Amino acid sequence: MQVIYLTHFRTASTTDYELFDDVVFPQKVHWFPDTYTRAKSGLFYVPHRLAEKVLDSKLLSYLRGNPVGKTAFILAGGNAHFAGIGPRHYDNRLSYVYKFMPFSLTQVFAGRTAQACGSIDMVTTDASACASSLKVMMDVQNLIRHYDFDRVIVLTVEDGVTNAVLEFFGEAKAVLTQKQEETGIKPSAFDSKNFGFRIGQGAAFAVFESERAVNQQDLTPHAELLGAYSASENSTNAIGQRENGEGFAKAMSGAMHYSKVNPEDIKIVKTHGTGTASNNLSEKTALGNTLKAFVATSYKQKIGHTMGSSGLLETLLLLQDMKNGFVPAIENRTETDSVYLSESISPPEGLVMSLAAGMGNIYSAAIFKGL
Amino acid sequence: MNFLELLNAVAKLARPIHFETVSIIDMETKFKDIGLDSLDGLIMMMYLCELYGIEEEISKEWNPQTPQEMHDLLMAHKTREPASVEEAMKQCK
Repeated sequence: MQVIYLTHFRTASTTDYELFDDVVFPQKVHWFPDTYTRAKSGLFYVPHRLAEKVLDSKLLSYLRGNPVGKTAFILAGGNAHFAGIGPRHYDNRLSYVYKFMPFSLTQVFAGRTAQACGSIDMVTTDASACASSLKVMMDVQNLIRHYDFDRVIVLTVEDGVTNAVLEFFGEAKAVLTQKQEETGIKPSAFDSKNFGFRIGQGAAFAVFESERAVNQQDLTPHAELLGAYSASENSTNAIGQRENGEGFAKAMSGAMHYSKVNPEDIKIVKTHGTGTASNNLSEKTALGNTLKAFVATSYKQKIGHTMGSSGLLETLLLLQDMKNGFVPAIENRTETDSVYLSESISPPEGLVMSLAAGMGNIYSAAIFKGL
Repeated sequence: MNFLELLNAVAKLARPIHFETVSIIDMETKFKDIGLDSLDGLIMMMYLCELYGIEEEISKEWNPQTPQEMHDLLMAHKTREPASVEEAMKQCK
Protein backbone atom coordinates (compact mmCIF):
# COMPACT_ATOMS: atom_id res chain seq x y z
CA MET A 1 0.00 0.00 0.00
CA GLN A 2 1.42 3.38 -1.04
CA VAL A 3 2.38 5.50 1.98
CA ILE A 4 1.04 9.09 1.90
CA TYR A 5 2.99 11.92 3.48
CA LEU A 6 2.16 15.50 4.32
CA THR A 7 5.24 17.27 3.00
CA HIS A 8 4.46 21.00 3.05
CA PHE A 9 1.79 23.18 4.56
CA ARG A 10 0.83 26.78 5.24
CA THR A 11 -2.07 28.03 7.34
CA ALA A 12 -3.90 31.32 7.85
CA SER A 13 -6.22 31.93 10.77
CA THR A 14 -6.52 34.56 13.44
CA THR A 15 -7.31 34.73 17.13
CA ASP A 16 -8.19 38.42 16.65
CA TYR A 17 -11.87 39.18 16.56
CA GLU A 18 -14.12 42.14 16.05
CA LEU A 19 -17.75 42.89 16.82
CA PHE A 20 -20.02 43.27 13.81
CA ASP A 21 -23.00 45.22 15.05
CA ASP A 22 -24.38 46.26 11.67
CA VAL A 23 -25.82 42.86 10.80
CA VAL A 24 -29.19 41.43 11.82
CA PHE A 25 -27.61 39.25 14.50
CA PRO A 26 -24.70 41.27 15.97
CA GLN A 27 -21.79 38.94 16.69
CA LYS A 28 -18.02 38.82 17.07
CA VAL A 29 -16.05 37.34 14.19
CA HIS A 30 -12.44 36.31 13.61
CA TRP A 31 -11.30 37.98 10.42
CA PHE A 32 -8.55 39.66 8.42
CA PRO A 33 -9.87 43.15 7.55
CA ASP A 34 -7.29 43.47 4.75
CA THR A 35 -9.08 40.76 2.77
CA TYR A 36 -11.78 43.34 2.09
CA THR A 37 -9.32 45.83 0.60
CA ARG A 38 -10.72 47.00 -2.74
CA ALA A 39 -13.61 44.52 -2.48
CA LYS A 40 -16.11 47.29 -3.13
CA SER A 41 -14.56 47.86 -6.55
CA GLY A 42 -16.11 44.52 -7.50
CA LEU A 43 -12.82 43.49 -9.07
CA PHE A 44 -11.42 41.59 -6.12
CA TYR A 45 -13.01 38.54 -4.61
CA VAL A 46 -12.47 38.28 -0.85
CA PRO A 47 -11.81 34.50 -0.74
CA HIS A 48 -8.99 35.04 -3.24
CA ARG A 49 -7.38 37.58 -0.90
CA LEU A 50 -7.72 35.04 1.88
CA ALA A 51 -6.17 32.31 -0.27
CA GLU A 52 -3.22 34.55 -1.04
CA LYS A 53 -2.27 34.35 2.65
CA VAL A 54 -1.32 30.69 2.21
CA LEU A 55 -0.12 30.76 -1.40
CA ASP A 56 3.54 31.15 -0.55
CA SER A 57 5.45 32.19 -3.68
CA LYS A 58 8.60 30.34 -2.61
CA LEU A 59 6.73 27.10 -2.01
CA LEU A 60 4.87 27.42 -5.33
CA SER A 61 8.17 28.04 -7.05
CA TYR A 62 9.60 24.91 -5.38
CA LEU A 63 6.64 22.82 -6.58
CA ARG A 64 7.00 24.13 -10.12
CA GLY A 65 10.72 23.43 -10.09
CA ASN A 66 10.43 19.93 -8.64
CA PRO A 67 7.83 18.02 -10.60
CA VAL A 68 7.05 14.47 -9.55
CA GLY A 69 4.73 11.96 -11.27
CA LYS A 70 1.07 12.76 -11.73
CA THR A 71 -0.10 15.81 -9.78
CA ALA A 72 -3.60 16.81 -8.75
CA PHE A 73 -4.90 20.12 -7.39
CA ILE A 74 -7.98 20.20 -5.18
CA LEU A 75 -9.73 23.37 -4.05
CA ALA A 76 -11.87 22.58 -1.02
CA GLY A 77 -14.21 25.53 -1.04
CA GLY A 78 -16.75 24.42 1.54
CA ASN A 79 -19.96 26.37 1.16
CA ALA A 80 -18.39 28.72 -1.38
CA HIS A 81 -21.18 28.33 -3.87
CA PHE A 82 -23.40 30.52 -1.78
CA ALA A 83 -21.04 32.40 0.53
CA GLY A 84 -20.05 35.83 -0.66
CA ILE A 85 -23.22 36.48 -2.57
CA GLY A 86 -24.70 38.52 0.22
CA PRO A 87 -28.24 39.67 0.83
CA ARG A 88 -28.84 42.85 -1.13
CA HIS A 89 -30.46 44.74 1.74
CA TYR A 90 -27.09 45.39 3.41
CA ASP A 91 -24.86 48.34 2.77
CA ASN A 92 -21.98 47.77 5.16
CA ARG A 93 -18.27 47.03 4.98
CA LEU A 94 -18.99 43.47 3.89
CA SER A 95 -21.11 44.52 0.90
CA TYR A 96 -19.71 44.17 -2.58
CA VAL A 97 -20.92 43.18 -6.00
CA TYR A 98 -18.73 41.37 -8.50
CA LYS A 99 -18.14 43.12 -11.77
CA PHE A 100 -17.12 39.88 -13.42
CA MET A 101 -18.97 36.86 -12.09
CA PRO A 102 -16.78 34.04 -13.52
CA PHE A 103 -13.98 34.98 -11.12
CA SER A 104 -16.22 33.99 -8.25
CA LEU A 105 -16.64 30.45 -9.57
CA THR A 106 -14.58 28.03 -7.54
CA GLN A 107 -13.49 25.93 -10.50
CA VAL A 108 -12.24 29.00 -12.39
CA PHE A 109 -10.23 30.07 -9.36
CA ALA A 110 -8.96 26.50 -8.90
CA GLY A 111 -7.85 26.25 -12.51
CA ARG A 112 -6.10 29.59 -12.32
CA THR A 113 -4.37 28.82 -9.03
CA ALA A 114 -3.35 25.31 -10.11
CA GLN A 115 -1.27 26.88 -12.90
CA ALA A 116 0.90 28.51 -10.25
CA CYS A 117 1.76 25.06 -8.85
CA GLY A 118 3.32 23.75 -12.07
CA SER A 119 2.20 21.00 -14.38
CA ILE A 120 -1.13 19.59 -13.20
CA ASP A 121 -2.85 16.40 -14.34
CA MET A 122 -6.18 17.02 -12.63
CA VAL A 123 -7.92 20.03 -11.13
CA THR A 124 -11.05 19.64 -9.05
CA THR A 125 -13.15 21.42 -6.45
CA ASP A 126 -15.17 20.26 -3.48
CA ALA A 127 -18.23 21.82 -1.88
CA SER A 128 -18.95 19.44 1.00
CA ALA A 129 -19.89 22.34 3.27
CA CYS A 130 -17.95 22.55 6.54
CA ALA A 131 -16.55 19.03 6.09
CA SER A 132 -15.00 19.96 2.75
CA SER A 133 -11.29 20.12 3.54
CA LEU A 134 -11.34 16.92 5.60
CA LYS A 135 -13.59 15.15 3.10
CA VAL A 136 -10.96 15.69 0.41
CA MET A 137 -8.49 13.61 2.46
CA MET A 138 -10.48 10.66 1.11
CA ASP A 139 -9.79 11.99 -2.39
CA VAL A 140 -6.09 12.39 -1.57
CA GLN A 141 -6.02 8.78 -0.38
CA ASN A 142 -7.81 7.53 -3.50
CA LEU A 143 -5.68 9.48 -5.95
CA ILE A 144 -2.37 8.37 -4.47
CA ARG A 145 -3.29 4.79 -3.57
CA HIS A 146 -5.53 3.85 -6.49
CA TYR A 147 -4.77 6.23 -9.34
CA ASP A 148 -0.97 6.47 -9.13
CA PHE A 149 -0.80 10.17 -8.36
CA ASP A 150 2.41 11.21 -6.64
CA ARG A 151 1.44 14.67 -5.47
CA VAL A 152 -1.95 16.03 -4.43
CA ILE A 153 -2.07 19.71 -3.57
CA VAL A 154 -4.97 20.86 -1.43
CA LEU A 155 -5.97 24.49 -1.09
CA THR A 156 -8.84 25.14 1.24
CA VAL A 157 -10.34 28.55 1.63
CA GLU A 158 -13.67 29.91 2.66
CA ASP A 159 -14.76 33.35 3.69
CA GLY A 160 -17.52 32.84 6.21
CA VAL A 161 -17.43 36.50 7.19
CA THR A 162 -20.13 37.57 4.79
CA ASN A 163 -23.50 39.17 5.32
CA ALA A 164 -25.18 35.99 4.08
CA VAL A 165 -23.38 33.65 6.46
CA LEU A 166 -23.60 35.91 9.52
CA GLU A 167 -27.32 36.28 8.97
CA PHE A 168 -27.96 32.63 8.14
CA PHE A 169 -26.05 31.24 11.12
CA GLY A 170 -27.52 33.90 13.40
CA GLU A 171 -31.01 32.98 12.35
CA ALA A 172 -30.25 29.27 12.72
CA LYS A 173 -29.05 30.03 16.28
CA ALA A 174 -25.80 28.25 15.46
CA VAL A 175 -23.36 31.09 16.22
CA LEU A 176 -22.79 32.78 19.54
CA THR A 177 -24.41 36.19 19.22
CA GLN A 178 -23.27 39.33 20.99
CA LYS A 179 -26.46 39.20 23.04
CA GLN A 180 -25.44 35.79 24.38
CA GLU A 181 -21.86 36.89 24.98
CA GLU A 182 -23.16 39.82 27.06
CA THR A 183 -24.73 37.32 29.45
CA GLY A 184 -21.25 35.89 30.11
CA ILE A 185 -21.34 32.94 27.73
CA LYS A 186 -18.02 32.22 26.03
CA PRO A 187 -17.28 29.97 23.06
CA SER A 188 -16.54 26.42 24.14
CA ALA A 189 -17.41 22.81 23.40
CA PHE A 190 -18.48 19.79 25.45
CA ASP A 191 -19.08 22.09 28.42
CA SER A 192 -22.16 22.44 30.61
CA LYS A 193 -22.03 26.27 30.80
CA ASN A 194 -20.17 27.71 27.80
CA PHE A 195 -21.04 26.81 24.25
CA GLY A 196 -21.08 27.82 20.62
CA PHE A 197 -18.71 29.40 18.15
CA ARG A 198 -17.96 32.56 16.25
CA ILE A 199 -17.51 32.67 12.50
CA GLY A 200 -13.91 32.96 11.30
CA GLN A 201 -11.91 33.40 8.13
CA GLY A 202 -9.31 30.74 7.41
CA ALA A 203 -7.31 29.03 4.71
CA ALA A 204 -4.78 26.24 4.39
CA PHE A 205 -2.46 24.92 1.71
CA ALA A 206 -1.13 21.38 2.04
CA VAL A 207 0.89 19.09 -0.17
CA PHE A 208 0.49 15.33 0.11
CA GLU A 209 2.98 13.10 -1.66
CA SER A 210 3.62 9.43 -2.23
CA GLU A 211 6.58 7.71 -0.61
CA ARG A 212 8.35 7.52 -3.97
CA ALA A 213 7.94 11.29 -4.47
CA VAL A 214 9.28 11.95 -0.98
CA ASN A 215 12.30 9.73 -1.67
CA GLN A 216 12.85 11.34 -5.07
CA GLN A 217 13.06 14.79 -3.45
CA ASP A 218 14.75 13.62 -0.24
CA LEU A 219 12.10 15.39 1.85
CA THR A 220 11.44 15.19 5.57
CA PRO A 221 7.64 14.93 5.90
CA HIS A 222 5.58 16.48 8.69
CA ALA A 223 3.09 13.64 9.05
CA GLU A 224 1.68 10.53 7.45
CA LEU A 225 -1.93 10.35 6.29
CA LEU A 226 -2.94 6.80 7.17
CA GLY A 227 -6.48 6.89 5.87
CA ALA A 228 -9.69 8.85 5.56
CA TYR A 229 -13.38 8.25 5.11
CA SER A 230 -16.58 10.24 4.69
CA ALA A 231 -20.08 9.08 5.47
CA SER A 232 -23.68 10.18 5.87
CA GLU A 233 -26.24 9.10 8.43
CA ASN A 234 -29.85 8.05 8.04
CA SER A 235 -31.55 11.35 8.63
CA THR A 236 -34.29 13.41 7.07
CA ASN A 237 -32.83 16.62 8.46
CA ALA A 238 -29.97 17.72 6.22
CA ILE A 239 -28.86 20.46 8.58
CA GLY A 240 -29.09 18.50 11.82
CA GLN A 241 -27.09 15.76 13.48
CA ARG A 242 -28.45 12.55 14.95
CA GLU A 243 -28.13 12.31 18.72
CA ASN A 244 -26.65 8.81 18.49
CA GLY A 245 -23.70 10.14 16.47
CA GLU A 246 -24.28 7.72 13.62
CA GLY A 247 -22.62 9.88 10.97
CA PHE A 248 -19.49 10.57 13.03
CA ALA A 249 -19.25 6.89 14.03
CA LYS A 250 -19.51 5.69 10.43
CA ALA A 251 -16.80 8.14 9.33
CA MET A 252 -14.50 7.10 12.22
CA SER A 253 -14.96 3.38 11.58
CA GLY A 254 -14.37 3.84 7.88
CA ALA A 255 -11.18 5.83 8.45
CA MET A 256 -9.86 3.18 10.86
CA HIS A 257 -10.69 0.43 8.37
CA TYR A 258 -8.84 2.09 5.51
CA SER A 259 -5.95 3.02 7.82
CA LYS A 260 -5.76 -0.57 9.11
CA VAL A 261 -5.69 0.62 12.71
CA ASN A 262 -7.71 -0.24 15.82
CA PRO A 263 -9.70 2.06 18.14
CA GLU A 264 -7.03 1.77 20.85
CA ASP A 265 -4.39 3.18 18.46
CA ILE A 266 -6.15 6.57 18.36
CA LYS A 267 -4.92 8.71 21.24
CA ILE A 268 -5.68 12.28 20.16
CA VAL A 269 -8.87 13.56 18.56
CA LYS A 270 -9.31 16.90 16.89
CA THR A 271 -13.04 17.25 17.19
CA HIS A 272 -15.37 19.19 14.94
CA GLY A 273 -16.18 20.87 18.24
CA THR A 274 -18.62 23.61 17.30
CA GLY A 275 -20.00 23.55 20.83
CA THR A 276 -23.63 23.56 19.75
CA ALA A 277 -25.89 21.34 21.86
CA SER A 278 -26.52 19.10 18.90
CA ASN A 279 -22.85 18.66 17.96
CA ASN A 280 -21.76 18.18 21.59
CA LEU A 281 -24.15 15.29 21.96
CA SER A 282 -23.65 13.69 18.57
CA GLU A 283 -19.86 13.86 18.51
CA LYS A 284 -19.36 12.86 22.14
CA THR A 285 -21.69 9.88 21.81
CA ALA A 286 -19.91 8.68 18.68
CA LEU A 287 -16.47 9.08 20.23
CA GLY A 288 -17.52 7.29 23.41
CA ASN A 289 -18.95 4.38 21.45
CA THR A 290 -16.12 4.07 18.94
CA LEU A 291 -12.78 4.82 20.58
CA LYS A 292 -11.11 3.53 23.75
CA ALA A 293 -8.73 5.85 25.62
CA PHE A 294 -8.18 9.24 24.01
CA VAL A 295 -7.95 12.98 24.62
CA ALA A 296 -9.97 15.45 22.58
CA THR A 297 -9.40 19.06 21.66
CA SER A 298 -11.03 21.74 19.50
CA TYR A 299 -9.75 24.86 17.75
CA LYS A 300 -12.95 26.73 16.89
CA GLN A 301 -12.95 28.59 20.20
CA LYS A 302 -9.55 30.13 19.31
CA ILE A 303 -9.94 30.98 15.64
CA GLY A 304 -13.66 30.76 15.00
CA HIS A 305 -15.41 28.35 12.68
CA THR A 306 -13.54 28.66 9.42
CA MET A 307 -16.26 26.65 7.69
CA GLY A 308 -15.01 24.50 4.79
CA SER A 309 -11.40 25.16 5.74
CA SER A 310 -11.81 24.08 9.34
CA GLY A 311 -11.19 20.33 9.09
CA LEU A 312 -7.77 20.47 7.47
CA LEU A 313 -6.73 23.85 8.87
CA GLU A 314 -7.36 22.75 12.47
CA THR A 315 -5.57 19.44 11.82
CA LEU A 316 -2.49 21.30 10.60
CA LEU A 317 -2.62 23.58 13.66
CA LEU A 318 -2.78 20.50 15.91
CA LEU A 319 0.18 18.84 14.16
CA GLN A 320 2.12 22.07 14.63
CA ASP A 321 1.14 22.32 18.31
CA MET A 322 2.14 18.69 18.86
CA LYS A 323 5.50 19.41 17.32
CA ASN A 324 5.77 22.25 19.82
CA GLY A 325 5.07 19.79 22.62
CA PHE A 326 1.43 20.14 23.53
CA VAL A 327 -2.16 19.31 22.77
CA PRO A 328 -4.15 22.45 23.55
CA ALA A 329 -7.09 22.60 25.92
CA ILE A 330 -10.57 23.39 24.66
CA GLU A 331 -10.88 27.04 25.59
CA ASN A 332 -13.38 28.25 28.18
CA ARG A 333 -14.12 24.86 29.70
CA THR A 334 -15.66 25.43 33.14
CA GLU A 335 -15.21 21.85 34.36
CA THR A 336 -12.01 19.93 34.98
CA ASP A 337 -11.83 17.34 32.25
CA SER A 338 -8.94 15.09 31.26
CA VAL A 339 -10.65 13.73 28.12
CA TYR A 340 -12.30 16.79 26.52
CA LEU A 341 -9.30 18.75 27.65
CA SER A 342 -9.72 21.59 30.09
CA GLU A 343 -5.92 21.94 30.36
CA SER A 344 -3.22 21.56 27.72
CA ILE A 345 -1.17 18.37 27.96
CA SER A 346 1.94 16.84 26.44
CA PRO A 347 1.00 14.79 23.36
CA PRO A 348 0.39 11.15 24.27
CA GLU A 349 2.05 8.52 22.05
CA GLY A 350 -0.35 7.41 19.36
CA LEU A 351 -2.32 8.41 16.32
CA VAL A 352 -4.37 11.52 15.63
CA MET A 353 -7.93 11.39 14.38
CA SER A 354 -9.51 14.51 12.88
CA LEU A 355 -13.23 14.94 12.57
CA ALA A 356 -15.45 17.33 10.66
CA ALA A 357 -19.12 17.61 9.89
CA GLY A 358 -20.98 19.59 7.28
CA MET A 359 -24.53 20.61 6.52
CA GLY A 360 -26.10 18.38 3.96
CA ASN A 361 -25.39 15.37 6.15
CA ILE A 362 -21.69 14.75 5.70
CA TYR A 363 -19.21 13.48 8.25
CA SER A 364 -15.50 13.06 7.65
CA ALA A 365 -12.65 11.47 9.55
CA ALA A 366 -8.94 11.26 8.77
CA ILE A 367 -6.14 9.56 10.67
CA PHE A 368 -2.63 11.00 10.83
CA LYS A 369 0.65 9.99 12.37
CA GLY A 370 2.78 12.93 13.46
CA LEU A 371 6.45 12.56 12.44
CA MET B 1 1.41 59.80 -18.95
CA ASN B 2 3.33 56.75 -20.10
CA PHE B 3 0.72 54.19 -21.19
CA LEU B 4 3.09 51.23 -20.80
CA GLU B 5 3.85 52.28 -17.26
CA LEU B 6 0.12 52.41 -16.53
CA LEU B 7 -0.42 49.04 -18.19
CA ASN B 8 2.31 47.41 -16.08
CA ALA B 9 0.82 48.84 -12.90
CA VAL B 10 -2.65 47.61 -13.83
CA ALA B 11 -1.30 44.16 -14.79
CA LYS B 12 0.36 43.87 -11.39
CA LEU B 13 -2.92 44.72 -9.71
CA ALA B 14 -4.98 42.38 -11.86
CA ARG B 15 -2.88 39.26 -11.51
CA PRO B 16 -3.02 37.10 -8.38
CA ILE B 17 -0.07 37.98 -6.15
CA HIS B 18 1.26 34.44 -6.21
CA PHE B 19 1.71 34.62 -9.98
CA GLU B 20 5.04 35.71 -11.39
CA THR B 21 5.19 39.39 -12.35
CA VAL B 22 5.03 40.09 -16.08
CA SER B 23 6.72 42.94 -17.82
CA ILE B 24 5.04 44.72 -20.73
CA ILE B 25 7.93 46.31 -22.57
CA ASP B 26 6.51 47.45 -25.90
CA MET B 27 3.23 48.28 -27.61
CA GLU B 28 3.28 45.48 -30.17
CA THR B 29 4.05 42.23 -28.32
CA LYS B 30 0.92 40.14 -27.88
CA PHE B 31 -0.37 39.81 -24.31
CA LYS B 32 -0.38 36.03 -24.52
CA ASP B 33 3.32 36.03 -25.46
CA ILE B 34 4.25 37.81 -22.24
CA GLY B 35 2.28 35.46 -20.01
CA LEU B 36 -1.00 37.33 -19.62
CA ASP B 37 -3.99 35.04 -20.08
CA SER B 38 -7.51 35.94 -21.18
CA LEU B 39 -8.75 36.40 -17.59
CA ASP B 40 -5.84 38.74 -16.83
CA GLY B 41 -6.78 40.66 -19.97
CA LEU B 42 -10.42 40.91 -18.94
CA ILE B 43 -9.75 42.24 -15.49
CA MET B 44 -7.15 44.69 -16.82
CA MET B 45 -9.71 45.96 -19.27
CA MET B 46 -12.21 46.50 -16.48
CA TYR B 47 -9.75 48.62 -14.55
CA LEU B 48 -8.79 50.61 -17.59
CA CYS B 49 -12.41 51.26 -18.55
CA GLU B 50 -13.05 52.55 -15.04
CA LEU B 51 -10.01 54.84 -15.28
CA TYR B 52 -10.98 56.15 -18.73
CA GLY B 53 -14.70 56.46 -17.96
CA ILE B 54 -15.91 53.88 -20.47
CA GLU B 55 -19.13 51.91 -19.95
CA GLU B 56 -18.67 48.16 -19.53
CA GLU B 57 -21.40 47.61 -22.12
CA ILE B 58 -19.17 49.24 -24.74
CA SER B 59 -15.96 47.47 -23.77
CA LYS B 60 -17.26 43.96 -23.36
CA GLU B 61 -17.12 43.30 -27.09
CA TRP B 62 -13.45 44.33 -27.32
CA ASN B 63 -10.70 41.79 -27.68
CA PRO B 64 -7.40 43.64 -27.90
CA GLN B 65 -4.38 41.42 -28.48
CA THR B 66 -1.62 43.99 -27.94
CA PRO B 67 -1.01 47.10 -25.82
CA GLN B 68 -1.36 49.22 -28.97
CA GLU B 69 -4.79 47.78 -29.77
CA MET B 70 -5.88 48.33 -26.18
CA HIS B 71 -4.58 51.90 -26.25
CA ASP B 72 -6.40 52.70 -29.49
CA LEU B 73 -9.74 51.40 -28.20
CA LEU B 74 -9.41 53.34 -24.95
CA MET B 75 -8.49 56.56 -26.74
CA ALA B 76 -11.43 56.23 -29.13
CA HIS B 77 -14.01 55.87 -26.35
CA LYS B 78 -12.57 57.66 -23.33
CA THR B 79 -14.66 60.22 -21.43
CA ARG B 80 -11.86 61.08 -18.98
CA GLU B 81 -8.21 60.26 -18.42
CA PRO B 82 -6.10 59.71 -15.29
CA ALA B 83 -3.53 62.46 -14.74
CA SER B 84 -0.77 60.08 -13.65
CA VAL B 85 -0.04 56.45 -12.89
CA GLU B 86 -0.01 57.28 -9.18
CA GLU B 87 -3.45 58.86 -9.39
CA ALA B 88 -4.76 55.90 -11.39
CA MET B 89 -3.51 53.43 -8.82
CA LYS B 90 -5.08 55.45 -6.03
CA GLN B 91 -8.37 55.36 -7.92
CA CYS B 92 -8.16 51.58 -8.39
CA LYS B 93 -7.58 51.04 -4.71
